[in-house]
Amino acid sequence: MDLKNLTIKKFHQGLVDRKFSALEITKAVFDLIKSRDKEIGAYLRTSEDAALAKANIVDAELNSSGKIGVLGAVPLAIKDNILINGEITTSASKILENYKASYDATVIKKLKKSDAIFLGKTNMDEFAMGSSTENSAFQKTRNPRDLERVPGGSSGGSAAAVAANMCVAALGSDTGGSIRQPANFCGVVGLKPTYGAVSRYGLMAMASSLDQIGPITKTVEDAAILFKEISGKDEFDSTSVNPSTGRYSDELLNPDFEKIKKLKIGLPKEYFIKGLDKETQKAVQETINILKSQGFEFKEISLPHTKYALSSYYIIMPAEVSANLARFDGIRYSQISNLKSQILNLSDIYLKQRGLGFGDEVKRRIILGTFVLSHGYYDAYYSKAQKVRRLIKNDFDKAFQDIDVILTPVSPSPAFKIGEKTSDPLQMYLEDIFTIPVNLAGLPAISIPTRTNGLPVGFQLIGKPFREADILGIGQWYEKI
Amino acid sequence: MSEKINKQTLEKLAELARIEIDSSKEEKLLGDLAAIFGHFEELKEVDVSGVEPMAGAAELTNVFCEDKEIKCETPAIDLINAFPEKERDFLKVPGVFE
Repeated sequence: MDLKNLTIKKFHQGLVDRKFSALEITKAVFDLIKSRDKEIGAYLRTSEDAALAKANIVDAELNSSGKIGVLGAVPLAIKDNILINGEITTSASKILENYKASYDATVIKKLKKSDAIFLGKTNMDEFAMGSSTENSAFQKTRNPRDLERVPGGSSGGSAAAVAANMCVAALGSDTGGSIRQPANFCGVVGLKPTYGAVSRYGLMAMASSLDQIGPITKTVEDAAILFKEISGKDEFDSTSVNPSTGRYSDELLNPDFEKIKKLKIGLPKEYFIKGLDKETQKAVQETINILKSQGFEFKEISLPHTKYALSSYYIIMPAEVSANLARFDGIRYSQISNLKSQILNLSDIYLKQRGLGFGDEVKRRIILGTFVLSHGYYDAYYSKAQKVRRLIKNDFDKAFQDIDVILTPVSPSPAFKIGEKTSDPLQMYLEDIFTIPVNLAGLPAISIPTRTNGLPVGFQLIGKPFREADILGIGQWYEKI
Repeated sequence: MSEKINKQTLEKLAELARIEIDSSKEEKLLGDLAAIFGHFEELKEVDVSGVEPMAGAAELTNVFCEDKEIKCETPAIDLINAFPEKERDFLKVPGVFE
């Protein structure tokens, strides 16, 4: 059984054509996880019994009715900050080590309805804070394409699981690049939807004005399938919306390539900078050449405030982090038990549980956020950053008057070595300079592998709000060439 | 915007955020924060006069709901059972009055 090329699309076709059963594939995936994940470390936990039981149910349904949805029995990996009812959900943090989710995230509810199978929960940077998955409180994850290197982050476990074929597709979350950058490092596809396109209900909040859940897959077509299934307005997330045209239509899955070919692509000069790694530049340029030869029209554009995105983001995000993570007090969800025997007052419990329960990066961001929101500094930092955010969004709005889609690199360089950047947080933050502006502006963007032979290098397509169809369309076109 | 966070400020912030910081890690943390705030200096160059702050990525509209009782989908007992320490159906914490 060829798990390597098994996409959602092929899996579904195989089931329908009775080439294999859901049970056979699910068992094969778990066999692979058992042998391969020892060295990769993509999964924090797996749920084999539940997955095999579900596979049996779908097989029986298929045998009796002959009908099955496109995601029926598709084996998925889920990032560990997304709640599945009854399952341990930790966000890779010690402070939630024993927390069992009490309800399903909306995306999980939708996928359960589609009869998808959940293989397990994947490793990540603690509370999604990081770009290498090295900030997990529990384990390191290695890049399946080069075990000496990081898989990227924060959805590093999900990207590694897809790249190593230890699932057919996965869900991640993206606050400043956490889906696109690991997809880029592992040589797979990652989609960050428009802010509001996918419900955040049941996603542990990091920075609420920036977070989005999205698919990590082997192909752009699979990303379109999974995105269509999880998107839509949800009454439990008041920031979720339907596109102004109503529901996302079939153009996501069946793009009209005649229309797609007419889309104008912008190349922002601020993203093709001197510090860009040579191989990355070469690979992205080759992609541009391929698309040009296919008749796509390109235009150089300028997004003048790009330079300030990182600073703006590292003020706004920690501010939201400091507020969102206040709920983790070591009392309500989970606690570090070896403190139990000491007699402490309430304030000491907070200090100690949070002091021991949070890792260094999480603490750094909470302190940073507490500072920028404090009296006397609010205007100089937080308010200023929000105004710069507006200017960044205005840059995109202006550019999109002339062009339809923007093409850029995903990261300044390919996957780095494990341990290479852990001691210098600013260096780690700079990993996300090309992905952060998209979150600030709330736009959809996708990371797609180029055809380079060395370490994986992706390119990023950024679309207009709720025009996932454009970037997915070009991506599907690129896949066919 | 060149304010640096010193040891005293850090300790105050840690107290406000209810996080105990290991004293052996204070120096590194102060250095990291100084580097990060150093990077923020570039924001001084940006002219933001007349620019409205952007608080979120969504175009938010008010949501109005009818004032009626809706049964919560998640049974309360599931949330209560998640408490690490409880007594009957109550969350158990040390006394807050000395």
